[in-house]
Amino acid sequence: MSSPSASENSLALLRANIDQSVRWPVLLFFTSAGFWFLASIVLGMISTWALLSPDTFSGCAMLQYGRVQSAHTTAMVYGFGFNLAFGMILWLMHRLCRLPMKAQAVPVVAGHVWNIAITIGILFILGGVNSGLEWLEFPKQVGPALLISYIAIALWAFVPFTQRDQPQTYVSLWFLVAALFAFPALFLPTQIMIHIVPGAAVVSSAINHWYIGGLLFLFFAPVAVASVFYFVPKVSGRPLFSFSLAVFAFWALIFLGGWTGLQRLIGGPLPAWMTAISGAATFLLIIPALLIWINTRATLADRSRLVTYSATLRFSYAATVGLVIATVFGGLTTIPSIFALTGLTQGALSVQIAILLGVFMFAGFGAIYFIIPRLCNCEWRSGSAIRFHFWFTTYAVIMILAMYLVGGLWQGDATYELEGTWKVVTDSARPYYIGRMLGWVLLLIANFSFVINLWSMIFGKGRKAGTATLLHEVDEMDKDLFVVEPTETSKA
Amino acid sequence: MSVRTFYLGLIAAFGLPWVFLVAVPYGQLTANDVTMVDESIGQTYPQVNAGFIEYGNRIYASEGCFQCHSQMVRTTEVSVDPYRYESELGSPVRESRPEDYVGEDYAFLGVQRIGPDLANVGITKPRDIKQATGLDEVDPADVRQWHMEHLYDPRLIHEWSNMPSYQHLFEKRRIQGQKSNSALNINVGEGYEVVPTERAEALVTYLMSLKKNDPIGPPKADKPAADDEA
Repeated sequence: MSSPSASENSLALLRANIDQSVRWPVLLFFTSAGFWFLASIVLGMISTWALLSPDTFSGCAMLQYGRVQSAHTTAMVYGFGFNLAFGMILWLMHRLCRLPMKAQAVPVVAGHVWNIAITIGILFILGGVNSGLEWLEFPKQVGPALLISYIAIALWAFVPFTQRDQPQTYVSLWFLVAALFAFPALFLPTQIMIHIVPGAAVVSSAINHWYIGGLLFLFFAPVAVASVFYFVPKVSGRPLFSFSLAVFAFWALIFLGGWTGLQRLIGGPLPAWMTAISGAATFLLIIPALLIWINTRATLADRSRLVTYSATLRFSYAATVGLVIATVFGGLTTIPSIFALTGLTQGALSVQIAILLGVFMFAGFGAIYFIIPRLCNCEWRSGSAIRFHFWFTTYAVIMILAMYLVGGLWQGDATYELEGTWKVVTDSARPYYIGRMLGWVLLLIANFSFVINLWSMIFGKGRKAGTATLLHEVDEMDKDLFVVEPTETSKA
Repeated sequence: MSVRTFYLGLIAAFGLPWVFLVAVPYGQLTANDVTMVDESIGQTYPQVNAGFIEYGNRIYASEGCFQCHSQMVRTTEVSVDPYRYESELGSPVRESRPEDYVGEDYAFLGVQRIGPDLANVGITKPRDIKQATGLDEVDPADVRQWHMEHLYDPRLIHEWSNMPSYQHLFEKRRIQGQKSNSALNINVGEGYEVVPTERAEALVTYLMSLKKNDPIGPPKADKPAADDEA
């Protein structure tokens, strides 16, 4: 029987082996996500500017609002969102299953195919080939390339789950495996029932909205929660507060998430029960969101001040707060008196932005701040740079979300006071476009500096010291917080 | 929780919404997706778009028009959609129904209303022009001209508009001999004219065809009770 220290050493060696084995695929996905994030912010700025000053780009067809807004969402969802998710999933699955990755070339090649397909799709959108389907604007021929490359990446993430030899399955694995299955379960029926054997036109529209809702709550949200439930116990050195609460939140999220999306079509040409059930499911999502936040908060307990020192903890905890806010937004916008104002306005889009930027993005950054030093064998250079990234990103997201929701309320209110001219709606929304523009600029500044930091780490320009970079100098009174006793999760 | 329970749970969680929100409506609404013909007057209901209008529908998608314009008049279950006040269309305008989108690949219900709803723009625009000019009848060519000028430069018509200029759907060219019949009534320099490309013609033809207010049959609940009992 080996001694505890020998066991610890072998575990550390195993972790190092796993990190080395997933290094190239994970770095590919994180750097791709960084590129696409900046690209999507720039496209978002152009589309917002096109609303403020439409003649700026007159004569340049590819920069007109309709095309560039479609390109912006495609870059945000498939470029930034999926690349970041792939990196997180691959690293977390192999770490949690304690198995190194084999044949790394497969996810690397699949990742290139994914990114090439997205690039082609966005170029076609900007060039004037648009399917007209929200979040699926790229030409339908791009779909198979995305699906095949996704399956290759997902298989490489799923294999360790089937081969693991741990007696227990940690809760993050449930969220990750559910997310892995969610995309094909949503994308394949959508492609088949819209493009290959289309039904009635309104059904195609309903399927489109179902796909968007599913992607938000069955893919992006679960990956974010898996990451939070892994990193918060690991960094804080405390076990997850309640396994049962986490499992309940998991099933609530997964069972409700698939019914969402159609609430945006309340009052539309669909059977009323479809939009009503979707609205109810969206409203009920507040419950798992609250449970996830409570579980995270209770896990931190008397170590909650660590949030001020650890980048991973700070971003991860912010993601759980974001999840509560996002689901409250979702719930509010399904209340009839509020939906009457926000329906068919930018307010209805606030939930998508809240999940993507307010939840998933924060969880993703939390993961990157933990994973990258382990892949690059150096530490982040400066705590102040991370603080700058966190606060500018937070302010930017709050501003963008507030503009979407409040702007939506005003925009919707104005549509009831038309008096023969649409000018009132255009004028009422304009200040919020200006606010959104400022939000995008803040986000660009924060994340441009982040991407530079990321690349400097990859080129080995980080700090060589062995201890993690903290956001602040440790106060005397907080020194006890850094005495960590290993927990079951932190050993993973 | 065993892995088997987990997989069964996932199948239920993903499968149930798919069955009820996708498969059932797919079967039911697609079965209703039929065109009826009134043989006494040779009229089809709802009218099916084809050819050039279908091409215009694709241009509408390609230019991302759906990002700013909806094509649905909503029911009153939440609030009264402002577009139900279009008095020229009947009072009130009926809500959009699945049958209104027959023949389209995809119902452009809309992302948000940055611009006005276009569900019935094929009726409302001639009405607006009639009101503005005070004429009893409106020549469709005038409606077409209005759409063309609006697409070429929306600020020519409404200086406050934030709609993009679709100048790439038009060709500015030197006048060869006589001015083209399809040239826009705008001044683009001595000896030059602006003419719509085929894409602009298709898009305007599509916009002028948009009418989601065809007569519909009585709801099933209005059937005589005897039918139900039988």
